Amino acid sequence: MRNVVLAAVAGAFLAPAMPALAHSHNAINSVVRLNNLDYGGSSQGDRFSWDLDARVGTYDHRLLFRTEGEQIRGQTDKAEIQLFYNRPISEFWDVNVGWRRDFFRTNRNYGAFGFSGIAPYFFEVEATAYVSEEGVLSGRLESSTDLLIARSIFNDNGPGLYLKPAIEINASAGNDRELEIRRGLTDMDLSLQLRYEFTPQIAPYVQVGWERQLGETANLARANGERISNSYAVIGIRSMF
Amino acid sequence: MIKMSRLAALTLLAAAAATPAILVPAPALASPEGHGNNAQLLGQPAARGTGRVVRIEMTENAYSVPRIQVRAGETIRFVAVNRGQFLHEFSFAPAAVAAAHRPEMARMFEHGMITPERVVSLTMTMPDGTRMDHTAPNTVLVEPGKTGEISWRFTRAGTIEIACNIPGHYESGMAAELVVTPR
Amino acid sequence: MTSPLSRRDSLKLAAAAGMAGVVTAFPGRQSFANAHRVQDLAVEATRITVDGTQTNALTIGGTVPGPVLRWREGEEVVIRVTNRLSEPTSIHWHGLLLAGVMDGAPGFNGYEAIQPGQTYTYRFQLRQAGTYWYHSHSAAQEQAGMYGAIVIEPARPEPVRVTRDYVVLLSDHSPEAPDAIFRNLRNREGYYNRGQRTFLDFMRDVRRDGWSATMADRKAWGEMRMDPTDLADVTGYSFLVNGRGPQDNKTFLFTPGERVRLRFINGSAMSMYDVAIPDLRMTVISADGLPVIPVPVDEFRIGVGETYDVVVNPTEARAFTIMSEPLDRSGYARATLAPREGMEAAIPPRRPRTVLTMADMGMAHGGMAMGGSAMAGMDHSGMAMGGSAMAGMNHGGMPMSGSGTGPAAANPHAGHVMPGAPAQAAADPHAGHAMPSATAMADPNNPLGWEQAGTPEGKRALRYADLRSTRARPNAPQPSRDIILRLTGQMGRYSWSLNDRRFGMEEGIRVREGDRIRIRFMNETMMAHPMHLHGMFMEMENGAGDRLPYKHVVLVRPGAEASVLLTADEVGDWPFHCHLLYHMEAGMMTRFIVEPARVASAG
Repeated sequence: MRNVVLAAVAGAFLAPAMPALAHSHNAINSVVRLNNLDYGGSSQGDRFSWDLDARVGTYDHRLLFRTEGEQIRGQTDKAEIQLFYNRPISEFWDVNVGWRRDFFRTNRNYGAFGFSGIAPYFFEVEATAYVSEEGVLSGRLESSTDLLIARSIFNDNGPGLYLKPAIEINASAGNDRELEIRRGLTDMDLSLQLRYEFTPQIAPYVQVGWERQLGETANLARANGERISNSYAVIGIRSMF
Repeated sequence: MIKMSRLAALTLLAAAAATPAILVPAPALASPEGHGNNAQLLGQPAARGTGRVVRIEMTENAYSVPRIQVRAGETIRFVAVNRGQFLHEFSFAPAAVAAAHRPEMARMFEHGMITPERVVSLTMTMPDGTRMDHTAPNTVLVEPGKTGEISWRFTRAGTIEIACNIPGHYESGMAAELVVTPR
Repeated sequence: MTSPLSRRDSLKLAAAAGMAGVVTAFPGRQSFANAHRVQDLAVEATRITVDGTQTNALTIGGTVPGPVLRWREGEEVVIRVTNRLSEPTSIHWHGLLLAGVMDGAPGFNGYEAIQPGQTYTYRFQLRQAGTYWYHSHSAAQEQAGMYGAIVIEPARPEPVRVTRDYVVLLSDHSPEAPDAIFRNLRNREGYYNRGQRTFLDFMRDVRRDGWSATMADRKAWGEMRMDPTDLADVTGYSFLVNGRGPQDNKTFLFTPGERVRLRFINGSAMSMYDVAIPDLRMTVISADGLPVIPVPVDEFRIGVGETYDVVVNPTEARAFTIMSEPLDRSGYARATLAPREGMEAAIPPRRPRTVLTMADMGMAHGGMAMGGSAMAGMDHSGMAMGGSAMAGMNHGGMPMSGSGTGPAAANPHAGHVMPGAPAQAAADPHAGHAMPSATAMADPNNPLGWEQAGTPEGKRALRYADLRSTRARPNAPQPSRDIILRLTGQMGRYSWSLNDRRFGMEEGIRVREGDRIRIRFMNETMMAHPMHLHGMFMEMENGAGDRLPYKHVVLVRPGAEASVLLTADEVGDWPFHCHLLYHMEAGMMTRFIVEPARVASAG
């Protein structure tokens, strides 16, 4: 299973990208975005989290790399990397095919397929289905939007104050003993970020959020004596370069 | 094309009555000086075809001479030949009077009384009841390839301006000086 | 993907060029005994100072802008361009009629970019007079300072007599490197847009228009995922007049009573301006280099790449400000007309920035003008599905859509009355009030719609419909066919295209020498695009009858349609592109291929 997934990923990346790279007006472009890098307190103790992605490619073919994770009281609660081949399929939507690897509880590989884009009202949406090397199907839905509250009162072209609500929901179609995941909705994260964007490169924020395990997965955690929810308040920085 | 006979038939007083606003605004015509002898225009219309001939050619957008000099007491028969592709005006008046007239000319243009090449109508009653008229004796509109005339008896010394007030022409340089020296 | 210009085409073009007796291959090795003028220009990197701040720049001839090239109609000029950069470069003669290989657009007409250390010799006969310009056609070098003015004196007397004659070259200069700007545009939608509507604006609109109208407006834009404040993709610019910033205050001298000719050239990468000289009326005497029947105006809007010559006649001994405000009002270019150096006139009040309306989306809803209330009942469900639905909507809204997809069929708003704007208004980016807007009229501080220039009451702005060539063509043949050029793009990805194809993926437009054609631009985006054709003038169908003005750039306003006629009398494969630099970079370009009518046999 693992080999099949990796081979599919590599093939998807390389084959279609080649001809387009030859043309100058399709020059390769790249960007690294630090979406979250923050630290603060939570009901389970101090909390550190990161979310960084990098993209490289042309208009029609891109590679995406993303890593995200969090540590609570110094213990890694989530850590993953994803590598996608990304291709636009309509004005607002892209398709993603790729690979994900988790680095907590156990190292786990997944094949991934999904869509990302901009829904009406400027909601950024990412919906991805995963098949783990154990053959378990799972899914993740993420959405967020940036609301511009105000510009600097001193300068029309100055910094902006943004409010960003975001949601992430995970579900699984099967059980994974090692990951302590049970069939059904598994967990969610709701957050609200208030960001002061001096420039797209320098954007400090404060963020509050609430993350909770759900369904049978939550029951399992509860049975194991773990807490199933955690609320947090953090400060951090967003950037792109 | 202006009919010269029509122009000749007009006395300055008649013109004053008929053209409250067009070429020469009413205050200028109502000048108290002289009896029908408009001080601003340094003289008065003379019978058609009379006077010493002064010939001016008109092209885009210029007169063939930058300056015309005459003597007070002379009657001048201005012969304005349009050698250009567009309609041109030969007129003379104090610079300020001509400047005040140009917006009216622009209105005529906008309302189709004149086109870039020709005269459609010299008079028109506007929707608001005001009347536009371009039949004053100190102006003549000349279509391409044609010739217009004004005969004028100069009685006073002074300097006024020859101008084509069709929109954009004066601004592009279609102007000359008319100097009347003392007799 | 096939090469747009096949080997067969290249051979034909070369044959045609050879028959015409023009220089074809290796023009750099010709001798120039007959040339009237020889000019050397070096392209080099340097630093320039604008308003006291130093930035990097690329220069032609050592300055920004490059030297004014003053030539005379009929003469043959030779320009030796030496590349002292570490990257390839080129110089394109914008608006000039010349043999394709001299046009200076790498990859077209057999012209290749000038490599570092190399010298390329341009040689061509001047077949026209007027105001033109030159600029790099390589990468985004133009943005960094590679532009300059061309003034060609006519062989015969001009229809204008002036005592002073000045070039007023407008440009936008950024402290950022052009490549960085392009990267930012691709990496984040609205990277430079600082004029987006805020929550505070929302509250203001609620107070002004009411809750439901404001919600309906935000709903309409939100459902389309469009931003009504997107007037310019790039900000952070200094706006220059002849390379001088607003504080530098470039001054043009006059003596009261003199006629002064100002040759306005918009050499900006991305910025279009509303240009006015408060208290001084301007008479527009030529557009894109060629004379038009004079039009007295108080202001005009100038698209990227366009030129307008105006005459002013200041009679007072005072200073006048030449004010050029970019559409996004993020600054201004300023110069002064004055009887002597050091004089200044007041800077006029800065004009408010307009907000786009549904009319700018090609949806000529009368109701949209009223703060969006008419949108409330509209069904946008068809639009939530992305690109294809969007395109359909735009088609539907086109007043002159002839694509065969009836508005009702293609239009998710079927059932709503879409009064077609008069063709002329649609073709006219300067049409003051083509889409009458009650709110815009009532509230000059919150203008609505792309066309709203904030023209002061009683003042007159130039409209495209005012432009009438001094050369009448009463017997011009009817076009034998229409070519549709849809102006397309995806703002979110910063992907710009023609007929949905980016340059390199498209087929090109192919016509035969002598063909009379109509090109119909259908702008399906919410930005205005200054469409530029190399090698030939387009006759803009602006309602001027047999006096259609000749243009090398036609500014097609958002969501609108415009059309031009042209006789394809210049053989070659010519660039045809949006002159917004980063739109061209992103792919909004195609080839306009004029095949020779007769081809010499190979034997």
